[in-house]
Amino acid sequence: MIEELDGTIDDIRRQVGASLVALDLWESGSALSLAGFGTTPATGPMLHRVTEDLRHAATLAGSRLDDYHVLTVGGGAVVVVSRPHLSAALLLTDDAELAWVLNDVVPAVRAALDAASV
Amino acid sequence: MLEVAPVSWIEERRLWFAEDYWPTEASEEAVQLAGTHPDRPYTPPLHPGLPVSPAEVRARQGRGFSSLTRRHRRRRHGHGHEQEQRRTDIDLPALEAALDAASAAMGEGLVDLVVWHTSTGLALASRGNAAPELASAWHAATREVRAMLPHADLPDAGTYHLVGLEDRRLAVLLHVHPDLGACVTVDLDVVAVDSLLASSLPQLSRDLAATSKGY
Repeated sequence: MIEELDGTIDDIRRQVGASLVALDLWESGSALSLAGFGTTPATGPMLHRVTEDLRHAATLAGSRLDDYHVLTVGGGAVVVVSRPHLSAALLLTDDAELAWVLNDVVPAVRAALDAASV
Repeated sequence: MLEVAPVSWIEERRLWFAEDYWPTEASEEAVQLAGTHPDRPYTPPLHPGLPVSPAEVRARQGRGFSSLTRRHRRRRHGHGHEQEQRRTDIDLPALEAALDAASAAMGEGLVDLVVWHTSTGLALASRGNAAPELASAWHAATREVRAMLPHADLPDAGTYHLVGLEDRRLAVLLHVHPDLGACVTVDLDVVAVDSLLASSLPQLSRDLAATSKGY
C-alpha cells in the first residue's frame, strides 16, 4: 500500500508541478497520516479536524460540505481534498492561481485519491 | 504661640555630616516615633519583635511616608492575558452599499451573502437566502481554522477560504478586517470562478474593509 501511495504522491506532483511545496495523505476515517512530504505529523490531523468543523458549519448553514476546501495562507494556499477513504492536503506557493486550483488541481487530486482507494 | 529658636538649616546639615555616622536602618527610637501618634496611646506589641502598626513597618523598612500623602497615578493592572480593547465604528450604510454592489456584480449567481462582527459573530448585514444561523456557523468555523494553523505548522491565514458545497456551490469566507468577516455563497453554474476571484471578491473585500474604522 505504501508503494501505491508513493505512486499517488508522484502522480499529484506531476500534475501540480513546481507550485507544490508539501503534501500529506491521511486516512479519512481516523486522520492517520499515511504518506507525504514537507509536513509535520500534526498537519494532517489538524486539517482533518478543520474539515470536520467546516462540515458542521455547512450543515448549520443549511448545506452540505463537498469534498474540498482551499485556504489562502501567507505565501500560498492549502488545498484539502477529502474523499471517503483517503484525504490529502497540498501546500501550494502563491503563484498558483485560485481559479487553476479549483478547476484543475482539485479534480486531479480527487482522481488520484479515488484511484489509490480502489 | 510657641517661640521657636532660629535654626540654621545649613548648620544642621554640617553637624550631621560631621558626625560621620549615617545608619542605613531606622533606629528603634525613630521607629517608635514614627509608629506613634500625638493623640493615640502607644500600645506595645504582645510579643517582642512584632510590629504594632503599618506605620512602624514602613518606618522600620525605610519606606518612608511621603507617598501616603501623594495621590498615585492609576496604573493599568494587567495580568498579561487581557486583550487590548480595540474600539471600532462600522459604517452601516456603507456596509449595506457594499453588499448591494456585490449583489449587483454577482447577479443570479449569488446564493447568499452575510457579514458578521468577528468579535461576537453577530450578523451585521445579509443578502439572499441568508438564514439567521449562517453568520454564527461560519464565524465559529473561521475561528477554528485560524486557531488551528499554528498547531499544523502552517503560515497565517490569508483573505479567502474557499469551501466547496454540494450542488456546485462555493462558499467563500472572507477575512477582510480584524472586525469583519463575510461569507459569500455562489452558484458555480452561474458565476465564473475567474471573474469572481479576479474582480468581485477583491472589490467586496475593499468595500468591506473601508466600512470599519478604529477610534
